[in-house]
Amino acid sequence: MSVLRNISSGLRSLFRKKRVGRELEEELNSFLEMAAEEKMNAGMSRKDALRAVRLERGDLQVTKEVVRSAGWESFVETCWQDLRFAARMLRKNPGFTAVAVLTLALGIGANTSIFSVVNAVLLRPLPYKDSDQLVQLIEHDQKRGVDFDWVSFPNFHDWNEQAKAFQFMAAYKFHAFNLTKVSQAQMLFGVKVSANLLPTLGAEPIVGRNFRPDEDQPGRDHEIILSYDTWRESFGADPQLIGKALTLNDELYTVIGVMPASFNFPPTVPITSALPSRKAAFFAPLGLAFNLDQRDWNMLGVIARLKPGATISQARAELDAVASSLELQYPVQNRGITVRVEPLLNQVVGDLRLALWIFLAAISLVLLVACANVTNLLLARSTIRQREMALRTSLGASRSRLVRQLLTESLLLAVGGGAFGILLAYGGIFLLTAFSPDNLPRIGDVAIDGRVLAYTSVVSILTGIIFGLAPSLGVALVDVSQPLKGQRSTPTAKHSRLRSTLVVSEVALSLALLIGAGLMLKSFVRMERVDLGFRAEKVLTVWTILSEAKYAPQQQAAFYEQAWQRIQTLPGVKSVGAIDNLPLSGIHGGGPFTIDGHPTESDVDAPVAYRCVANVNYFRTMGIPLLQGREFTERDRDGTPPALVINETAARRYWPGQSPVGSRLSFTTGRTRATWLEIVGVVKDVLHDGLESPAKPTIYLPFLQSPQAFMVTVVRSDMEPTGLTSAVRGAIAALDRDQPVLMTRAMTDIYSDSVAQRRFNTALMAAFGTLALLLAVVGVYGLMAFAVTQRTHEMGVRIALGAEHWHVLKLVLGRALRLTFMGIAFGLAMAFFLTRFISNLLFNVPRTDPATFIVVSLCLGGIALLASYIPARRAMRIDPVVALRHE
Amino acid sequence: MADQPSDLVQGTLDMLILKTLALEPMHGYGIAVRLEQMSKGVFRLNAGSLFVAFQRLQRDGLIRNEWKATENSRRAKYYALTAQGRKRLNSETREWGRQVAAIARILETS
Repeated sequence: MSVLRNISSGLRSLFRKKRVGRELEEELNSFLEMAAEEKMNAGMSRKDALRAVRLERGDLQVTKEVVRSAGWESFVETCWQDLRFAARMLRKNPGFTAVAVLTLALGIGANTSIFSVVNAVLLRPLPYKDSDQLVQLIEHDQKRGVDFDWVSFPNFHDWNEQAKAFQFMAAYKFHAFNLTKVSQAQMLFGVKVSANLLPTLGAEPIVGRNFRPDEDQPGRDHEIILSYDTWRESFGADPQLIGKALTLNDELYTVIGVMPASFNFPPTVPITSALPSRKAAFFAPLGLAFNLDQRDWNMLGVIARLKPGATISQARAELDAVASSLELQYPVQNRGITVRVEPLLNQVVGDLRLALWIFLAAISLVLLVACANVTNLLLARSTIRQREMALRTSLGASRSRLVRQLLTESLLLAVGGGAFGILLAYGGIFLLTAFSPDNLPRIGDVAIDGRVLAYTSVVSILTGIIFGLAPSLGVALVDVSQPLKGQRSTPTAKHSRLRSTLVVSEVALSLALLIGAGLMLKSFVRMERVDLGFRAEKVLTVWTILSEAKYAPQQQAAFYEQAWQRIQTLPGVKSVGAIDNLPLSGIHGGGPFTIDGHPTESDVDAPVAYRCVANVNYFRTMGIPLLQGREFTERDRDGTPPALVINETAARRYWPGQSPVGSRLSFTTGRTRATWLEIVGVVKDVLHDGLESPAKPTIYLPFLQSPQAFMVTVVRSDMEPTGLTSAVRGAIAALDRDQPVLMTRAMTDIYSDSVAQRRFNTALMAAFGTLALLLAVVGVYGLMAFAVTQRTHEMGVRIALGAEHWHVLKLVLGRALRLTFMGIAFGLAMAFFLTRFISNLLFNVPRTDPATFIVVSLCLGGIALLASYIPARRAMRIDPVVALRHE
Repeated sequence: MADQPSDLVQGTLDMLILKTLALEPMHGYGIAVRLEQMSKGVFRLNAGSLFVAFQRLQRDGLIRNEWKATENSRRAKYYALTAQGRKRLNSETREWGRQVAAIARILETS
């Protein structure tokens, strides 16, 4: 109540200043008149009475001031005055103002852009109801120290039965449907879900209904919910679609609902990073029966919602207990298997978290460099303003009043810098999102929202205080008498030392950033030089998946063989290979196997390898050299002895010091009777998981002996591979016009995507380093130019007394050299300490790589010297006559 | 200013003004005169401190004002206690009494 009255009364004084003043004056007048009247009644003359009252009760004007300055509004009023004065001062020095605001805008704008990415990716909750309660459950193999994102159905079933900390536990798996009996057959990529998955996320269809609890059981699972995009793009957003049946993989599914446009699950679709769309096209029931034999078949993603009030650590403790009881029950499949409970957001963001915080820290260093620059500008200006400050002090302004005035100027600059910074940030965000890799989770949500604006405001005000405090305190402590005597103002020793310190720190900070950028750049170059193990140029990849209802395994083999023959005859095609798990696509699969003569007790101890199915021409088409034995031939088909080819790493690891050709292995483990396959050849390694992961042991099976519905056909041509797209699609459609091609992409594009994240990180760090370098160079130049201007007189005298030109040059450059050198020394120490934080982002480069440290230091030193050469040359050419007359 | 006792405790002036207004609404000069009379000339207040106190009390909602004609048909601003002001006066008086008694006890025993 009284606070409100206080504010409203204060506001009234502020905005109806005249009227409130008049009223006060009238009241005071009548007060003093009454006092005087009393004295006149006692016999005084009016004149004497008025004087006596003034002595006794105080002067009218003074009292008015006292009353007016008692309220809070007077503080606001001086602030307003300071602000107007500050604005006038900044307007009068447009050059200074422009440079300062631009410098700050660059720093704050870059900072805001990066923060908006941090905000969208790390801070904003996932787009599900109460998303902080959502967790992902992952199996962890303690012996091998690896995580399995996928869980077997029986394990999921048991967790769900036994764990009590969860409100819901739901499962999903990726699935592809071949949509036919429509104008154009097409492939839909989506997820099969347990009936409670959408309720777990708190999601409802906008049209139609959710699955009923029993609708994920086998036999009752022929229903489907479409994504909004699929509904709109493939069915023209037809509201009559609900209740109608679609032909999917040659079976009928009834459409029961459509999800909202904003809905997506999983939050990132990692079916394969090569896939063009990141959104699931449909949600279909899981339709799995509880089958104990499938406990080692890991295929389900599991998410859960914590009960209200339950914590992650409770859930962890509970699942630990469940996992150990399952381990006892099923020692063969579950030995050493624990369950990890991770917040869903962590799971989505993954490694990006660390990288983003590092970038925010790095860009904050750039902002510090910008601050140092502006501080230096202000210090230079304060030397010029000494006279003004001295005059104001001698007229009665208190020091605190001057500091307040100067701080107001700094804050105004900072706010200006912040405002322009936000404009720059819009540009920055545009660039960031345009150049960021597509598979960066949630990058599409980056925008300037309330939180970003609040962050920018706080950062701007903080920078204002950081860069403004030293100069304002410095000015306020200036000796009053000197400047007023009309003496030349020389920079005080204290100022000069502060300015040198600032330049040294600028050089140090930017050196640290540049070394970081240099290390990442070197990592990138090293990575690009890594041999992939195959030649990606001029290869087109064609992704197809056959409907299993329509094609039995032998028919799948027949279909693909015909398709490859047709593609082979197309003009421009050199050879046609095919594989199920394409390198760099993010798709891989595999598991344990047994070597003939070396049986193992359980899966956990068995050798493991990636498993791929390749056709006869795959190795030749991809340019993977054969090292031993032979490649697959047309004779490796159904009915001939099962053959396989392994890679170098598998040969080295599991057949050390001997040739594996002729050895036999089996994929059945445990006590079941083994089917033995014979190794016929060894091929060179391929970096399946990308340039940064070492080659894994890999086993290739011949397509004709284990046909697959899903294959990626690789077509090598002697021209631009995407030029073949329509011809290849035509060849497949000619075989079966209901058979869609999932997608076609050049292998070089898939490669490019696989290095996009590192390329982006490197470019970002390089941009930060360059920005810091630019600012630091401006800082060095500014300091030297100012020093030369300040010492024109001294230089003139020196030259007049016979100093050589080179001597003057040495004087200026010597100081620049000293400062740069110190900056580099500190910068090296800082880099030595700071690079530990980016060691995870480096590849094949030690974090203290001496070559990088030396080259970057030399470059920075050279550029800084170049920047100070310009003012040094000016000093050299000072005409003593002009310099002394200038006095 | 010298005539204002320097050890007039912050807030005491406010309480004295409230006390003065407890009987009837008064203008500023009337309050000053009444305070002097009641204190037998100990408190001689200058206009500055008095009017700052008026402003503060008004903003706290303890007094309100009204322009009225004086007995000499001069226009003057009259101040009056609000209900809240009256409550505050009572509590402050009680608190004051308690403190004075306590201080007196301390002074007597030592």
